Amino acid sequence: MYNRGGMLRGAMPTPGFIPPHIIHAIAKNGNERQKELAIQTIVTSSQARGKRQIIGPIANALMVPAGGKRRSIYDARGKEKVPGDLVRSEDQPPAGDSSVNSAYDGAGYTYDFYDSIFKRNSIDDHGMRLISTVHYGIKYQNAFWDGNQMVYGDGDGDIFRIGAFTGAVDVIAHEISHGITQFEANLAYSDQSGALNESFSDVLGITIKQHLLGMTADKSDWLIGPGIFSSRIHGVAVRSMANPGTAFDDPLLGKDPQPAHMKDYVQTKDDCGGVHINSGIPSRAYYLAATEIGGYAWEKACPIWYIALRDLLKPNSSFQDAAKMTSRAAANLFGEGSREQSAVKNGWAGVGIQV
Amino acid sequence: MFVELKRTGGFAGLATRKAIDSNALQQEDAKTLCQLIDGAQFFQLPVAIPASGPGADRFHYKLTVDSEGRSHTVDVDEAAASPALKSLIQWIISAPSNP
Repeated sequence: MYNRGGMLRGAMPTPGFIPPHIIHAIAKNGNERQKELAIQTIVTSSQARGKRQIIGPIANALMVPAGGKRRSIYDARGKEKVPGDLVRSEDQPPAGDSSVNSAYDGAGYTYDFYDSIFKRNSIDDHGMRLISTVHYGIKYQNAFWDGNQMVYGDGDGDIFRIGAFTGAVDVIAHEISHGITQFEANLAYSDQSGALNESFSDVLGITIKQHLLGMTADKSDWLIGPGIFSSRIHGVAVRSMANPGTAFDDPLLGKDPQPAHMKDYVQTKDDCGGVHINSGIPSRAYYLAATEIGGYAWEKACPIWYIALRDLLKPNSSFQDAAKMTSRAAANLFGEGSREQSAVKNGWAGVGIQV
Repeated sequence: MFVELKRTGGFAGLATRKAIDSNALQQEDAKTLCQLIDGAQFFQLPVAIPASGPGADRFHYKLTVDSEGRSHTVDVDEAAASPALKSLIQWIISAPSNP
């Protein structure tokens, strides 16, 4: 783990093993990369919440630049190894590769949204580098968050359009938001907590897209990933937050399996207990609350959801807990008995959860 | 030999299935499939290989091989699959379906 020079190599899983005086030595003597590794080691895989008091003074010693946005785009060149080759850094001009540029722009927009709306400095709220790898695998039909960075495949051209995953800001914001969830509530990725984890990524994804388009809640289509399917697929999007279960119905893919109400909750061993399936329920609750509140979702509904994620929810939170905590967040922000809180309660009632 | 690969999870949360009957394969392909199964030491693998760390929107595979009277099923997270198991999975994904 330590090379001969006594410098950290790679990120360690247990921050407590590194005495602060070594961190300070690296901060003083290390180069940019070594300083970054020191920060990553402290912050990665540890809950930001509750550890902020411990890491705060150390993180300050490793001062990130003001503004904090540091994007690095890598090219995996068809291999399934990350990060790959560095092809674009922060403030470098556009590359000749549209996937690289889309990943760069999407990460930037997402960072700026969290910064301007929530005063959040990157995924860990400490200026964590935004690492994205594009061209992962061959015709790879997916985008994911690997615990440290965003990873994007190209799509296969048959089910998914080529370049679809990096070309959609809601997909990029969805993946980055998984990182934020990891550093905040750290919702366990299975069953109800996992479905909440998935839903929060769609909540932030759709809201960031609405922000990009300057769209009020009532004008939004509330679709996640419209246009990432190829034209042969019978469907309008990957998911519908307004009407879960209606996004696609295709001979090859089957019908959109999402439920819109607790009574249709899907018990399954697949997909970690159906985290992409049952996310429809809390997502619809957000859609109902945001449209009842009206106006721009990033002004009221999204802050309610974000505060619940950042301050109130826990790794094992259930849908019922999310209903309670979003209602509490609404009371904290807008007052007990406010119409905003009422809209949140109505949203959850609309999917069969009373709070 | 019969092989069935089910994939769930991923950003789109789609469930897909691929089945291969080695009797319907070209000889070369059938041989390659056998080699990949042996290379992954498939029949010695535990029934569950979950991811050990954080992550989201990764694929999950359920792979069943029925061969010479024995049958084994492994549930594996994409992040936790060994390189040899990944090669087997990738070969199955790109091979044509036959049953």
